[in-house]
Amino acid sequence: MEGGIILFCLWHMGAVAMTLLPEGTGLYSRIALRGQAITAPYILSLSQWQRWSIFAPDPLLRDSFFRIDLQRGENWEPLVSLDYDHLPWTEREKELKILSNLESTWYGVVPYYLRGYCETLHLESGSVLRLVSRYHILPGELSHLSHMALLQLPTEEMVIGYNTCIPK
Amino acid sequence: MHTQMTPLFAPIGTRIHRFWFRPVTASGFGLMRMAFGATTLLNMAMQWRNVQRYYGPHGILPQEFVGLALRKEWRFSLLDNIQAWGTDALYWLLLLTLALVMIGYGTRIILAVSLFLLFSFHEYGIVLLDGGDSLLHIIGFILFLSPCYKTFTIHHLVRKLRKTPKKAAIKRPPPVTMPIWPYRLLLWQMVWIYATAAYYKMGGVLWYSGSAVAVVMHHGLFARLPVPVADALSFLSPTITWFTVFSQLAWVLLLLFPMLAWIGLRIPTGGLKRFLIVCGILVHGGIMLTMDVGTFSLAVFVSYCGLLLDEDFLALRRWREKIRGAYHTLRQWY
Repeated sequence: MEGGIILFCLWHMGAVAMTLLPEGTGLYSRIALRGQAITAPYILSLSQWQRWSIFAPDPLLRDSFFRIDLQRGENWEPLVSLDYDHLPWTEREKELKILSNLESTWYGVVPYYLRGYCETLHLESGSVLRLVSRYHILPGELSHLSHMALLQLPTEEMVIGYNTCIPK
Repeated sequence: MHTQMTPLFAPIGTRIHRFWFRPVTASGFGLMRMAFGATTLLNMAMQWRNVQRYYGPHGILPQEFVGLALRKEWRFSLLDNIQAWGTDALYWLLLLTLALVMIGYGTRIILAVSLFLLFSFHEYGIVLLDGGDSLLHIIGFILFLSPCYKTFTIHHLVRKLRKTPKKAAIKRPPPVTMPIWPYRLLLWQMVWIYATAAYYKMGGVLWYSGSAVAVVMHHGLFARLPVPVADALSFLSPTITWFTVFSQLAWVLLLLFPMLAWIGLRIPTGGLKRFLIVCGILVHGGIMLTMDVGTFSLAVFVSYCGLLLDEDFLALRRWREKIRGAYHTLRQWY
């Protein structure tokens, strides 16, 4: 029994280490990949997958503010602001996490994200929504970061995706 | 409980046995179980208005999309094939089981059920998962392996309240202990978290230049502070930035120093561990005050509870006595 516990502990510790080994080259990389292939079923099936590169290698300099626009004829009318000041504090972190993921790699999900607003805002069938990211790039130098209140950073806008409201 | 050092030349079997099975206080893991239940409950409860949006079959990630968007290998989620009412039912069941975990009712089975549900929600809601969620389900798994139900449960509280009030008549119960191996798993996990976090930071430019913390303090996604306040505090950024990296890297010493004991060089690490926990409280506490990163800081504090051993509780009691003594002395002077 005790021997089994020791072996399990060594196995679990090895699996965690294999999961977290940084990428490399050469022999190290081959050993790491082989180790990860062996431990992956255990790690993945028990939801022990993990990566701790938050704010690394550098914090994200792109500072985005999101909004939803409604199409009115040829123009787009801002409908909902999705930023720190306008989201409820209980939902803020999750919503901004989703939005930053939609902006980066999950843009295929944007129509489904917007679909929810068709219902909550009781929009007519055929209304077209778009999710827009308005962003600026933060400076990396401390001298500039100490005077951000005075700086006017150039802002860009990017449309992340669209959705047409349809009847439920 | 006084920690006894194994003689340096004890047989290898004795040393291995003691390394994995020496009895330590179960209080740390009992506290961690309560804190895990409370933090995960808070984390999930704050999502009550968006359960269908985040996890429902017609939400942000519709069920028909799951096969395309999420990994297929070694993945399971109860939410993959249920209807909307099922998502709601499982959500409320999850909250109930987390509350029971917190108070320590039916702990082993209830903990297993809560983890099964939590993993299902996390595996489905990948798009909104953050570092705090990841750390919580890792801590949950270690708790499941451990005898975390030995202390700080509702049964212990009821038993304590039923005892006669005369303290002199009550014999102090023996300390509740557990084998040390769950603590070893947790410590290993925490060291790897901090070591890899520091490693990835050292690959950047802003952590070297000292402006990384100033950048995050000004970032619209996280920052709580108004811009003028963040500007005024930016001069602290280099100090805090380098302190963060070095204090994270120093966790590796908690693994290296004990390894030296196997070659005859014994370096106590209790004080170092407490120092690093205090550093972590400062860093993550500062993050919690100045930034909105969900329950990540709370999740880290949960893990710190599990790292407390007998000597740490003794040190805490000594610190508390010193603080009390200093307070009384000050009151006498004034």
